[in-house]
Amino acid sequence: MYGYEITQKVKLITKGELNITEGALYPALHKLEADGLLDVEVEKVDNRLRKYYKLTESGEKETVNRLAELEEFIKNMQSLVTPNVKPDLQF
Amino acid sequence: MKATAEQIQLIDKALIKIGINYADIRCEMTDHIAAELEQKDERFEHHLKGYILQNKSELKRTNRRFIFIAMGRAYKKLLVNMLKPWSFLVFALMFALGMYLIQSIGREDAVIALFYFFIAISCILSIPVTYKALTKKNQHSLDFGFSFINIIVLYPTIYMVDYQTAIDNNMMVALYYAVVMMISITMYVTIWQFNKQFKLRYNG
Repeated sequence: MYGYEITQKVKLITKGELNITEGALYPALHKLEADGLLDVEVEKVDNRLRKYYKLTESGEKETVNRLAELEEFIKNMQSLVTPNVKPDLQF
Repeated sequence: MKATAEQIQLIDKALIKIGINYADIRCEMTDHIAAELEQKDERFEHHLKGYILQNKSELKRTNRRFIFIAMGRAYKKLLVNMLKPWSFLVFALMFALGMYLIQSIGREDAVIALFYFFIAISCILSIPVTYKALTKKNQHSLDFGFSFINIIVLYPTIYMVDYQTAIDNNMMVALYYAVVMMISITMYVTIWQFNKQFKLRYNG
């Protein structure tokens, strides 16, 4: 996927709720590339060069780990916000 | 509407005008802006002007962030190269050369000889980088970080010539030049590796 495509896809999936600006997206992509989590290919498309990003093997592993972390975090947050009410304390 | 080659040139020129000088950064920004403007109507130049006006500071900020990320990447690669066996070989060869010169022509003359040798090697190796900087052609974001290392290595070397002729420690003199020569040569090998990668990526 290329940068603009990512911004549009995020907009589409989140039904416009999330709008990633280029100022936030590209530095993040470059950082991930520098860390070896993204692989880059450049192709000439419509009179210009286009940079395509794809996850490397370690990038895919990192994505799985980060998603698991995020899931755990959300679970913890949910249990903090809506704690299970102990039956013996109920009126 | 698809952007024509002339319109892509216009975006590229607009980006150069606001100070985005590195080709790799510009190429990505050009594609993003072109993709965005292609969604609008036929008044391309009008929309381009509007886009640049609206996003000028954001584009400049992104450019700076790109440069800092590239700097980190350049130094990381340099460090990795410094730990490679050929780098240690350069170090050992330079150390041996330094010791040999000190033993054969005396420390004072050896310091001067090693200093001029370092300057000559640095000048020869930096010709492609200087050419790129002067012509502003095909400069990429990784070039920026290396310009600092040149100054960091060169300044103490000039400063230490007098000190090195005065101190009574041959090994320190040979060691110093072995280290600076190793840094310089590794740096230029790293630049060459990056240039090769960029040529393959953007011109290949």
